[in-house]
Amino acid sequence: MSGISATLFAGDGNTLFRWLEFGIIAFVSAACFAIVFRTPKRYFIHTVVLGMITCLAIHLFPKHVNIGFSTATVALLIGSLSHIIARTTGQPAQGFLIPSVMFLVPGTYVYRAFSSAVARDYNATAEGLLAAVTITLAISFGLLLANWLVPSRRTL
Amino acid sequence: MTFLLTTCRVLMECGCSSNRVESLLSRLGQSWGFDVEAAAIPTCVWISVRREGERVHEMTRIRTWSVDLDRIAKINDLVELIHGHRVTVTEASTRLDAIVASRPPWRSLATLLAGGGLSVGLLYFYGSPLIEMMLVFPLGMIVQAMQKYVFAAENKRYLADFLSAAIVAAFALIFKQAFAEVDVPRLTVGALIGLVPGLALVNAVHEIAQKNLLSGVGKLFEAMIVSLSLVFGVFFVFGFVALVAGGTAP
Repeated sequence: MSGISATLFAGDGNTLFRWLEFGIIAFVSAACFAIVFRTPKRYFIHTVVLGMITCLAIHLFPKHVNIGFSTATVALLIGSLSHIIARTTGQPAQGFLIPSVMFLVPGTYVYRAFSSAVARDYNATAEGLLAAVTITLAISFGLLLANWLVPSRRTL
Repeated sequence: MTFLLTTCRVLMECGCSSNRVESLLSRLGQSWGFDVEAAAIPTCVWISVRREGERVHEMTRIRTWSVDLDRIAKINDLVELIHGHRVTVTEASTRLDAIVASRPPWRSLATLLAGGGLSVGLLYFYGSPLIEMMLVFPLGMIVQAMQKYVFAAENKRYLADFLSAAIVAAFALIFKQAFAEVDVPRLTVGALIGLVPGLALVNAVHEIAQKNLLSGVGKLFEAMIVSLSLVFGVFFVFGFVALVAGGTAP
């Protein structure tokens, strides 16, 4: 927790302003993902808030924490939250989960790894792919754990 | 049977995972007193329906993949009605046809703006300068337009990825000439963020973890091919520029 508070309040007096700006951008980005994935309008705000929580949670983790651990923890958090929202709204959990998970997925790592491969920089390729695999496994582990902790009551 | 086939096809096309489609079909079968077994992979679904010694097998091909959470939510509502015996098979079929024919919940302009917005968001988190965030917005919109509207046909998916990447790379190089602070790789990744197959990769591993091996491996390969289409699109432009103008690619 001290690491998280250090992340929140470190730096100059503008830190809280920066976090406010960060929260707004996270909200807008989550809304964009929700629109691109055609989230139903009646559950739009649930999805966006969950996406914003994901974005803030992953950035609140101190940088020295292992990326696999932080990703798995955030995946567990949003997986559990999406199941809880699904139970209260009577909708499939994946409807809330997919736009939020987009903040965690290692798309950029995959792209950069393949770019490095084409450019024959095989060290960077291996590094990028390893990071992508770590993050992917961490997300899957976190989501599976969430499925187990808060089991779905619906088929979809 | 037609209802079951259409339901599973639409769900798979909307990005529903294989294991959920399989369990949904069994549940629908139970509601109507049939014993339904299904096997779903990203390219097709096999269904076996059994009742009183009679058995029927059917298969449906899945030709497009996207994510449409609105349709999944609507089908979820329909399944609940069926499970509660509140609609007949005929009514359910009519409602399913209406779901298939329904328009997306968001207008085209909103989708295009969202495509630009998420590219800007990504570059903000990368710590890009303001000019880069402004430049990536139209590129994100172009990418969304190419994917959702220009090359929406089933057999043009990878062509759309290749061309989108090539267009983004070309614009990134042009912008670099006009604004020195533009970082070409960062701008390219930012604009293409809507296409990079991170979600497909996560879904693939998730499917494998749930012992849907065929489905997982299929999605893994899809993610790899999409990544390669994007990378080849970018490097095609970089290579062409290097050939014409001299020098090396960024």
